[in-house]
Amino acid sequence: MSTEDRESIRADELEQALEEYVDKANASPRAQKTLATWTCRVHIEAFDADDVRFTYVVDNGASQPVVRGLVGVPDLIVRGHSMDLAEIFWGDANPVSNYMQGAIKTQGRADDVMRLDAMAMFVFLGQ
Amino acid sequence: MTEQQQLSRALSLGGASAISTGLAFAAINFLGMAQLLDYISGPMSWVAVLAGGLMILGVRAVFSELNGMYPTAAGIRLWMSRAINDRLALIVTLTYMTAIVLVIAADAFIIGEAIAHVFNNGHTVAIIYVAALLVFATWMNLRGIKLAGAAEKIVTSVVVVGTVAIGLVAIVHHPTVPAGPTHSSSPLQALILGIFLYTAFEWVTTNAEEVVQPKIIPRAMLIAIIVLAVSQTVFTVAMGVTINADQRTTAYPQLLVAQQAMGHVGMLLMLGITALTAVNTFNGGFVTLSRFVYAVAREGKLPRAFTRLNDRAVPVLPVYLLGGSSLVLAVVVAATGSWVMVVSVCAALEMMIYAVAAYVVFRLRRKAPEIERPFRVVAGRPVAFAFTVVFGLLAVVSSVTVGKSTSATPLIFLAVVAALVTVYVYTVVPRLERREAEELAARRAARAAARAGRSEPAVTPDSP
Repeated sequence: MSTEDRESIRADELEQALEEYVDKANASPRAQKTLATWTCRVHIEAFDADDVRFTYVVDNGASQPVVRGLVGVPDLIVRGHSMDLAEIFWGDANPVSNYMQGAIKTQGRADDVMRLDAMAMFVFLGQ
Repeated sequence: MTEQQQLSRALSLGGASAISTGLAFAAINFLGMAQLLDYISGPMSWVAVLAGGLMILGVRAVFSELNGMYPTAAGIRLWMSRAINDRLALIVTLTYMTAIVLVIAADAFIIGEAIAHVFNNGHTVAIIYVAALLVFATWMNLRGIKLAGAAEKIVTSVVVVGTVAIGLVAIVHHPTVPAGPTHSSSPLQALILGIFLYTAFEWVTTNAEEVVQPKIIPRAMLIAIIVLAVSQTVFTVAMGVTINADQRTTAYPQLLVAQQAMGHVGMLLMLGITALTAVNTFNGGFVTLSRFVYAVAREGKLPRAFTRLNDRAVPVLPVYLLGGSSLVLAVVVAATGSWVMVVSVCAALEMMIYAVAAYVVFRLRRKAPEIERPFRVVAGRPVAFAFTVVFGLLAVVSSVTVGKSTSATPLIFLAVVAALVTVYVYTVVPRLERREAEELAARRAARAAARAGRSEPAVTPDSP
């Protein structure tokens, strides 16, 4: 499916997905324990909509409230179609799978990509 | 949209160069040098090493073009799936991962034997050292302990500088080497082994997303090739003029070179250098393979058990499997003395992946000409096709040669691995993919319904 055929997600919808994701991540004992030493500033950008840009910070395993816009110097940048990004934070798709298939692109250390994926796994699969 | 150019922990040119060099300079390279000297005399061995470097420049061009098009840690897997298809990409990359297992096993074996030699322990004790090393490496990886960026640079620098220094001392002060068996002249074999000395330098392309300037990775690879060319040329010549053919058949020829050059102290220094090469190999190998297996499992192409993480976010089963299989292989190699075959299998796998990468460039030039290519292989398709043929042939030659003998054992081994992987990809993967696709479709349907429900206006009794 070309990107032109895909539905784009609005910024407020993705923001809501991110906020729910943050709440779930902070409520997951496994995520808190396993990622307790992980600190990462993530910039999330959709290439199909200029206003779909967010900053998500994990501070020693604790997810901070999501902020609109790209704030600070990131450790990890995640770019993709807004629907692909939304599916990750809804838990419908996993970050690594989207990444391996080229649906999302990242910049930053592979360790951080893996931890982002691990968090999604703990949150949505209860692993 | 302009891509952001800042990252807080970006990889520098120095860091990328150290990674590329460190990945290529494994303990097994010393065995590769020893085998190369079976085909060309010591004083002339620089020709083979540098010729190998020239060929590797072509490989660098191929990987630079692919990396420029799709800078990703998913590397050859993604590139192949774009050029050919995902099934074949999975078969090739899973087969290729065998190389990591082999190199880890070989390096553990070499260090175990080297320690046993230095401390005058017997063969059985050497096997115990090998096992202990791999158990320790597995434990370290399960604890999530990795070599940090600066430490990696230091380790690689010490290995390179130490090797060159000992090599130069050996060249200057070498004794008259007693005549041993004459060399069998085979330029092709010498070239293959010359290329082998540089293999794995291209793995730095998996760090492509850690740099903010795309040209860093191609430049790092070039620097690594130059560093490897110089250091390994010096040491190969040193080995050729210092020790005889019988000494080269040991599992630790580099120790004997150092001992001849600088006595017991030299041997201890070289033992330390050999151990450091393994630090890089274990560090890179365990992380790369475990992460790859985890990622493929998360894609739904390997059983979900491979996604299980421990409390340090380390994929447990891949690490255990890698440690266990390396241990078994290393003990088999130690017990049978078949390390020469390991070199052949690794060389064949690397030549194969170079042929595949060149073919991917060839295909993508036609299939995706519009994609930006910051780095381009000179003369494009004809050169890429030529590399495919050349490295394909070198892969075949490597797979039917063990030492100075013709042997189909490496080819049979690789064929068995490839066959098992193919059976898995065509029988098990479709089932796993179907399950993933069904679950994804169900989640998407539920999401679409939830979103539709939120966006529909409420119907009141008075509405039309």
